[in-house]
Amino acid sequence: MGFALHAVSKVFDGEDGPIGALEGVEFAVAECEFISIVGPSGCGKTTLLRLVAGLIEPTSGEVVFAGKASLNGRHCALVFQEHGMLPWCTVLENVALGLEFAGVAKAERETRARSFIATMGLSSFERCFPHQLSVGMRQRVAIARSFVAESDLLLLDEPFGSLDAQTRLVLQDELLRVWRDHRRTVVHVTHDIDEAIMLADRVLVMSGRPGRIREDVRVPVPRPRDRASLNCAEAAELRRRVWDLLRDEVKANLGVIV
Amino acid sequence: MAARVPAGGRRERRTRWLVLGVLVLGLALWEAGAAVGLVPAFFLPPPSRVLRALVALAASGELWRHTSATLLRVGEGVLLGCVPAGVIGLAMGWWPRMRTALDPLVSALHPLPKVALLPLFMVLFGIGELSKVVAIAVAAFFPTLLNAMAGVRQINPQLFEVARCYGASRRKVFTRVVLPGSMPMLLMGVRLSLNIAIMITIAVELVAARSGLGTLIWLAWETMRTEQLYVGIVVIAGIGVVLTALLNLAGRKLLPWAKEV
Repeated sequence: MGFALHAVSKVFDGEDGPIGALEGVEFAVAECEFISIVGPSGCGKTTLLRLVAGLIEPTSGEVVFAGKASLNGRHCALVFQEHGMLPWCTVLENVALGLEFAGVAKAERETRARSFIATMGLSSFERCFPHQLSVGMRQRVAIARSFVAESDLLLLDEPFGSLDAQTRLVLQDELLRVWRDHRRTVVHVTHDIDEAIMLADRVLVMSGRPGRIREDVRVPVPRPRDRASLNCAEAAELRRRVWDLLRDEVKANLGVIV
Repeated sequence: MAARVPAGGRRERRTRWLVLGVLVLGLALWEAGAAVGLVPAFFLPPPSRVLRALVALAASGELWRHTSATLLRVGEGVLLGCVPAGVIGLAMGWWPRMRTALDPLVSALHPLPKVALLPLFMVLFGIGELSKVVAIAVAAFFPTLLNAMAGVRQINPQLFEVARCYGASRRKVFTRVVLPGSMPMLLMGVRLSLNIAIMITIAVELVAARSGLGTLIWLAWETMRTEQLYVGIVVIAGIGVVLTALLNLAGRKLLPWAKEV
């Protein structure tokens, strides 16, 4: 499902007065488009995702879904950095959770979850509990759940942020493969520029707090992509451009004199 | 996983032997001390005499009469106290408004010594069983209530957000998030309630009952049969150990995902 943000701002009540998290955020995402949002830490990326999810309301502006301002009946699948699994549910139950919450009968949802688990090669872990799995495995289960749910919208909040570098690469490839076979609208938040270029159709670069969209760039790398695609001149140029935008923000955050 | 379980099991077994060894050694020293006259047998009757008294009381049916009376009161009190406590505690954990409304009341009532309320309950409910069970239930109420509430509050808020985004109904949020998430702490609360219920039951029986282990202890004191007094204490301790073990077993069966209950 496509959606658009119109002049969205969000202000939180902090202990020392109001804190502007987002200011005048404006962008649109087409049906089945994959966008990545990159920005310095604390720039309001997660706030933006929570606004789209409907977990919080904007202070001003609006989030409009497929032309309707009504947010009723909108379901989205969230993947967090970690801890998004129900610790008391097995892998199978966790993967089927989105369907369960949507009211799908037990036999039906388990069949669908099982077949998806099989395509990801997770079948032998069906009856494990999350605490028995590595963080990387748990994130694979989280991804499986978000796709099985058949939600209109996938919201990935630094899904690979707590993984080591190698695991992260493998899971990026897997996410791309799954998405190729099951197209969804995806909003993906990351601080990893390469990850954004590898996965997304468009990269949105955010400024430091209060977060604004500084740049909205189409990734000029054709699909299907692999690691080698990141070496092409267009990708290198994009990486440099995004980093140029981010560098000053990161330095300012750290108090480094520019 | 596979490598961790036997190691833990071995350590557990070693601990168990250690506990048993200390116990046996202590009893042996006590027995020997009484035999050579080092320990005054009137105040500290040797284990063998306590055991003989226990067998005699059991054979006469007296022991079971007292034990069953105590167990019944504990059971009724725990049931009457913990069930509403669990319901109200979960509700208070889930709905901030309910918590705001009831928290001052809980803070005010919790520290009141429940034995001291027995006379009030006797005025309200008469001098029969009901007033005793109510006192026990009121004592058992609070630990379960507070643990159920804290149990809900320590659930990772992300899980509530996941449920909300997937459009989970309130019933599903309860059965999939609130109840299982708070269950380990809720069970811990029931365990605390159970211990307090045993304590209050004995206390109530000491002052106002014609049967029960508290009564047995009181009668033993009045007639200076110290070995019967020890029988009462040993049986109460045994009840505590057995009931706690049962509760822990139930926890492990009910919550296979929890590492420690």
